[in-house]
Formats: sequence, C-alpha cells, structure tokens
Amino acid sequence: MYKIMEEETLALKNFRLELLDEELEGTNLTGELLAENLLQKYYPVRQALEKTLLNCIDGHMIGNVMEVLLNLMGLVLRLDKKYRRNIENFDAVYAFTDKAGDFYIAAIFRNNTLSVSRKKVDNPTFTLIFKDNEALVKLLFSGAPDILNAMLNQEVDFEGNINYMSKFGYMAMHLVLELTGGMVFA
Amino acid sequence: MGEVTLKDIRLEEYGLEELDGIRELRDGMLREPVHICTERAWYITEYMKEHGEEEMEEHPVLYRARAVARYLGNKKAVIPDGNLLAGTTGAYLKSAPVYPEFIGLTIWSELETISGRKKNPQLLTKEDAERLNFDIYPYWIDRDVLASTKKKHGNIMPIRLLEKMIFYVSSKAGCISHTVPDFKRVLAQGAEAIIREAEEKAEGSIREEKEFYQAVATVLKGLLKYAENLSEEARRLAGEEKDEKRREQLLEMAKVCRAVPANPASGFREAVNCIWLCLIGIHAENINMAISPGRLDQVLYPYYKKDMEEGTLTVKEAMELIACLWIKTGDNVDLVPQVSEELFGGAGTAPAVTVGGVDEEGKDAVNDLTYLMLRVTELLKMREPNMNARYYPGRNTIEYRNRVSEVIASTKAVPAFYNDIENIKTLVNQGTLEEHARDYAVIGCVELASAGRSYDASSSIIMNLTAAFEMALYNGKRYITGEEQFGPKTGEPEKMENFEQFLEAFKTQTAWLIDQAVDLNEKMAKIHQKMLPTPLLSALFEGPMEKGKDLVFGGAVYNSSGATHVGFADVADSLNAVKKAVFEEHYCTFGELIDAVRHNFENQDKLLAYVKNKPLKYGTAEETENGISREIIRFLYETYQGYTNYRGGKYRPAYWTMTNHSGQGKITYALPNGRKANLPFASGITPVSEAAADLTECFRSVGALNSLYIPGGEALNIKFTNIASREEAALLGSFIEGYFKSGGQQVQFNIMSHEMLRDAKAHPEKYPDLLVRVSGYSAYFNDLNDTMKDELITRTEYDIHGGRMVPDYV
Repeated sequence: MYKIMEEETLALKNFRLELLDEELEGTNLTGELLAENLLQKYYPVRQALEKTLLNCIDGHMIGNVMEVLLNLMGLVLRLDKKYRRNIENFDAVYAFTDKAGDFYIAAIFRNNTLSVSRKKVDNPTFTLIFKDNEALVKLLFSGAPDILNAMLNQEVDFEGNINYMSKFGYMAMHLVLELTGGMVFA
Repeated sequence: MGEVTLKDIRLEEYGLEELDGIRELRDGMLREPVHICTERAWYITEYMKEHGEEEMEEHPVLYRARAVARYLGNKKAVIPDGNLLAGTTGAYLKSAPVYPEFIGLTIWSELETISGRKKNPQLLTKEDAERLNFDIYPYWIDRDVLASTKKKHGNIMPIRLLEKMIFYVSSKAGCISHTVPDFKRVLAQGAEAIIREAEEKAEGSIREEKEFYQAVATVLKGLLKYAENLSEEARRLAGEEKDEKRREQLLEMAKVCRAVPANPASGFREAVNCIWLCLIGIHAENINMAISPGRLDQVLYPYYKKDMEEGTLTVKEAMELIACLWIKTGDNVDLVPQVSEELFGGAGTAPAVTVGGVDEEGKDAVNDLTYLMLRVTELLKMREPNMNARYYPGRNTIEYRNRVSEVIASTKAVPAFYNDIENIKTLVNQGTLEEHARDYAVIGCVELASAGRSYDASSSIIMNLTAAFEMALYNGKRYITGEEQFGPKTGEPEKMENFEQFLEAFKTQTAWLIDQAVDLNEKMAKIHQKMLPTPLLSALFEGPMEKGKDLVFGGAVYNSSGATHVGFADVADSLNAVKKAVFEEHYCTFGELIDAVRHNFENQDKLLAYVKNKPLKYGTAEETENGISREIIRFLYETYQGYTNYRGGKYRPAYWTMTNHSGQGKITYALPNGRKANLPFASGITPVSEAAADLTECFRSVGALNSLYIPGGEALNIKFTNIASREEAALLGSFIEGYFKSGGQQVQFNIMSHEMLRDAKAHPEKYPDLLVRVSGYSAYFNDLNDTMKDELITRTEYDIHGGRMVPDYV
C-alpha cells in the first residue's frame, strides 16, 4: 500500500478541478513557465491521486476509484500537453453508474478539457453500468482494460458506442502504466 | 480431366532438404513474431480525411477504389526473406494489419500492453501506437461498421444481442471476406486487359455501372503500381546482393513483377506470383478472414503442364514455388484483442486451398499438381493454407483417397476430406448449375462455394444454439443475464404438459434469434454497401464485370449468406434428455431438472448419471432413428431458407464452430444433457465427446442428417489414436468411403491420443509446431487457450482398427 503523506492529503482535500481552472484563467504566466509553475504547485495533489489510484487498483481502497481516476485524468490533462492531445476536438460525455443506482458520476470532455459532475447529465455519449467498484477496477486496470471480457462475465453493461469505452480505457490505462512502468512496445 | 503422369504420387524423393531454402523459410515464418502493421490504416484514413464522407455518399464504389489504390500505390515494397514470391500483406514478414473500418479499434485500450501479452502477443511500436491513438482511431470512433450501424438504427435489439456476445456473432461488423475469388481471368488475360475492358464498358454505361467500372480500373492500377514498386525493389536488392544465386532470384522476381498481374501469366512461376499479388490486393481492400485461394491444383495446372512440357520447369522447382506460396499465405494474421485471445485464440486467417475432386464435366480432376500440393503440405505441416481434399467416390481413384489419408496421418491433421457427391448435390439444390457446383471450392473452414462465381459471405452469422435452448428453458431469458427479458415468453417449462410444447418453445426462441441476427446482417450489409464496396475483389470474380455491379450489391453469379451454429450436439442431446427424463420416463419433473441445471448438478449425482447415460445421444443409431437431431437440422434449414438476403440470395445454415464452441461454452451454464457449466460444447457437427462409442455408427448418424439441409457445410471432427502405416492409412480411407456413402459431407481428423495431447499441454516446448484441427480450420496447439486444449484432449478417440472408442481413463 502506498503511503500518502500529510501534505499530500491536505493538498488533495483542497483540490477541485474548477479551482485549477480559475487559477489558469487568472494567471499571466504562459507556456513553459506556466507549466513548470503548475507542475510544482500541484505535485502533491498529483502524488496523492496517483497513490490513491494505485491503492485502489491493489484492492486496498475501492470506494471512490472513478472519482480519483477522473480527478487525476483532469489534472494531467491540464498539466501535460501531450496527454491533452487525447482530447483535442473530442466532445463526449461519459456516465458511470452502478447497477443499484447508488453511484453516479459523469465525465464531460468538451472544449479540450475534462470536467466532472455528480449531477445526472442528459443523453450521455456513453454510459457504463458496473456491478460494483471491484468490477470497475478489474475492467479498467486489469492489464488490458477490456470491456468485452467484463461484459462476458456480466460485470458491466453499457449503452452507446463501445469505441468510446475503448478510448477511455486507453486514457485511464496510460496513466496507470506510466506510474507502474508497465508499457510494453516492440 | 486430370492427368497423373508422376511415377511416384508420394514424391518421396523430394524431402524438405531437397527443396532449396524451404526449411529456412518455413522455420523463419513459424518463429517470426506478429507485428501490428498500421500502414494500410494510415493511407485509408488519410484518404478519408481528405475526401471524407461527401465522396463516400456520392460515389461509394469509386471512393473505396481510390482509397485502396492510394494505399497500394504507396505501400512499402518489402522483400523480407528468401521467398521466391514477391510481396507481403503488411510491412513485415508477418503482419497483423489494422482495419479501422471493421474491428481495428478493439485494441485501442490495449495499445500500450498488447506487445507484452503473455499469450500470442502482437508487437506494436511506440510510434505506431501513438499514430493509432492520435491520428487514426479518433477518425473512426463514430465511423466503423458497428458504430455506423448503431448511429443509423439506434440501440436496437439485434445490436444489443450482438453486443452481449452470448447469442450470436455478426461477422459483418468484422469483415467482408469469406469467399473464393476467381483467378482464372487475371491469369489468362492480365489485369491490364481487365482495366481496358472496364474503361471501355465505363464509356457507355449508366452512372452506377460506370462508377463501378471506373472503380475496377482505378483499384487495379493501384495493384499494378504495387507490383511495379516490388519489381524496382527486387532490382535494387539484386544490385546489392553478393550471393549469385539470390541475385538471380531477385532479378527473376523483378521480371515476374513487371509481367504479372499486369499481363497474362506466361508460366507456372508467374501464375503463382500473380495469385499471391492478387491476394495481397484483396487483403488491401478487406480483412483476410478466410479469403480462400480455392482450387489451385486446377487453376494452376495449365501453367504447370505447359512449363513441364516445354522443359522450363522441374517437379522440384514447382514444389519450391508451391511451398513459397503456402508459406506466404501465413504472412498475415488478424488483429486479436485480449478477449478474443482468451475466448477464441489461436485462429489463423483460414485461407482455404482445395484440391482433387471432379472437374466441371464431372470427370476425375486429380492431376500431378494435386500430388505436388499434397506432398508440400505433408512436408511443411503448417497452419496455412487450410488444406482440403475433395473426393468423389467411384470417380477419384482409391490411390488418391489413400494418398490423402497418408498425408493426414503424416501431418496428424490435414487435409480435411470433402464428399463430392453430397456437396455437389447440395449446391445444385441451392440453384447452382451442375457444372458450376462440380467446380466448388472450400471457403475458410468448411463452407462450399462455386469457385469464383458464388459470393457467399459464409460467416455472416455465428448462432449460439444453446442460447435459444436456454431461452426456452427460462422463458425468454438466459441464466447468465439474470432477469433481463430477451426472447418471447414461451412459457414456464414446469407447466408444459408434453415434450412437443417444449420443442415448440425452443423453435420459437431459435426462430426469434435467427430473425434478429438476419435483421442485423441485412442492416450491416447496407452499411457495407455504403462504406465498403469491393471493386478489387469484384474484378476477380465472375459476374460483376458482366453485370457492372460490385459484389456487395449482388454482382456475383450466385449469392448467399451463411449462418453457422454453435452447440448443435449439446442442444440435440439436451432436448433428448428433457424428452426422456421429464416426459417419457418421468424420472424427474421439469422443475427438478431445471433446478439441477441451475445448480450445475451439484449433489445431483444420480440425476447427472441418468441424463448422461439414459437419453438418446446424437451420434448413435438409435438417436438417428428416434431422436431429435434430424428434426433440428431440418427446422433450421427451413427457417433460414425463408429469408432472402440483400443480394437476392438465400441464407444457408452450416455447422462449423472454429473455436466458438470453446469460447461460448466457457461462458454458458450447465445443460440438461449433463454438460456442466463453463465446459466447451461439442465442435461443429460432431457428437458430444464419448456419446458415440462406435465410429461407424457415428458416421451413419452424421450422414443421416441429410446434406441438402446443410448447404453451408459441416465440420465433423474425428480423432484417432494413431495411424502408423500405409495399411492403416488405407483403413482410414475405407472409413471415409463408408462415411461418404452414408451421406456425410465433410470430415477432418486429429491423429493423436489423449496422452499425447496432455503431454503437449504440460510440456509445450516438446511440441513447438504441433498442428491440430479445431473445427474447420487448423491451429498450432500451443497457440490455443486452455479451454480449447482441453476440448481437443477430451474429444472422443477411436482406434483405427475397428473404430471403437478408446476410453479416456483420466
């Protein structure tokens, strides 16, 4: 289990993607200077999110894996230009919900950024319905995030175009593989 | 009429060592890892981005031709090894090309891990992964076949069922393929003549036809450009080559590529390379899923004969060229995402070559080339091509039949045997002219096509029959999907008063699923017509050039769509079990039987023993007489034949399963025949393992199903412990003779024991290239997943002496 430092916990507690956006709007800094500044400032938050995510994957903390993932994704999209290429001109709304309807979160990719909402959104592009958080973790981070396999095991269901899930799976997996060093290429 | 002039039809003087460089080529191809190739995806996507939807909407056939021609014209000319034939499907020696129009996006989430996958990894460079993620996939996210169908029709029930993956597979989401092109025209006339003909015909045609002919000319020019580039590359390499022999080969290759496919093939070497280049062209247009070269011993024979008579070719040289082609057919595999790997892994592209049988006049067509091809197959023992031998009892010789049997004994798996009498009769019954039916070839696994004339899309539907059975058992629901209602409510079985009511429920559910699958196939076909016309394949077919119509619009001489079935034997036995246990002997109530099934027969040893032993079993004489199997076959035939497809052809039921019987079995709960949860189903049309203790009875049962009702073809898997001598191979030939006389269409073999296969599973390193027959196609045992390996291990094993079952004591 990854230990989350006190300052990281504190930073995470005060972190909202919206606050970061406000900061981005209000700043005079641009280009590399801005990137460096933000990277430094948000380092503890990123650390906290990454460690929490890895703990979720290792089965230590299951509760809020999707929220953690989306926050990390949102943060990295704002800080990392190359990762941001993933959502250039990409307009899509993902809804993630459990079968019981107890959990709901939406990821809204619009205007080259990601926002996260707990409120129900109309007509999402893609809806993922998962049996429980364990199924979700298994789906997204089993090494090959494979919705087809999860569906065969009746752990998830979906509405919409499955290619959107494949894309989301790639983006999620990329974050984890960067942390674990698990990328393999020819 | 075939001519056999060889003194030794076994060609024993030609071993692998005698064929120059063939062992190295074979071993090189077998050891070569699969590289994911993005080249085609890049050029097609680039063209689409530039010209986009507008051109597709306005000129569907022409846009496709231009996109494919751009790829072919720019395709890298690669000569990666010492093969005598020029050209590669992808940019590597062995490639998995990405087809984003079809299922190319299924590996999106795996781009950064697929290279390191434990089982059958497919290698991808970082640059290619980024190219796919950033440049190629985003364009297709809403535009591949399935996404386009969904966009047009919404989340309709047929799509929901497809996406559940436990009811049926609709292959149109993944490919066009599954057909046998006609190479005779391009070999005899050359592509330039076809281009001229197309351009002339375009002149006076109405718009649709004009565009089709323009498309043919455009795409063939792309193929010729690729051949030219190969020629230049061969010449360049020859200039650098130090080895004199190889330099000469490269110069010859340069000459050949300058000549064909542009011009008529002047001899055997040009003919063989022409076919390979045309196959590359077809692969450029569509995924290679069972694009089958067809009757090559017939198509190539005139060129072989001419060269032999002129003294410009030797048997050895001909065998080397055949070996080169055989090896080349394995230069491409399909892109396989993790789930497909787990469920259906190990499949090749099943390019079927067919030899033997009779000619269009009904005369023995076996010739010298037939035996050369059999010998090369025997020597190489490779997965590709998928070899099939036709046999016409009474017209083909016993020597030929026994020679094929010897090759099966030697390779332990190939070729498969096909009964000309039944298959020709079956095709004639489907409206094929007799002379065209006699010229049939095998598509992919086992499907039948009048070669180069019949566009059969033979894998359009893969129907899971056990899904329909379960839906009858659970009133329109499936066990695995809980309370979700899919099929019609056919009633609670517990309340049914007789077996006929349950049988009717099963038929209702089956007919409903077929209707859904056919509806989806038709809808996707319209998407194919808009997005994926096939002008290049059409140019290599009888019909389109005459009609001015692309294959996907019904240009071929004959048209049909195929629907194969998974779980036939298990369903037949389960219906027999319900009838016996519940309604005839009242051994248990329907409720008790369902309860036992739901609980996977836990603590139900007595009932399990009863259903396993008492009810009639498909594969036995008694079942043939009094059981349900023949009725199901007839019912399915009549149901499918009631549909006419978008090209004006009928739907043809078939019984081959590839590895789907293993994959679908893995995710299906227990059945009333005593098959426990998550175990594989019986393959193809094969009886359930150990249900048929006597091979002769088994053959008679399968033969009695009536081949007229199986126009799509069947795969019967039989396993023998060992065939160690020519005498024993002749015994195999006798079994086949008897089976064919009883009406069987097809049979394929594995010559290996339970023990050997268990050893191969435990010690894969001892059996690096063990070839096995799955259900229709061949595979390397080590490439298969454990479930499929277990299915092969537990298949009924027979003794060649007497045909009795060899018990499996494990």
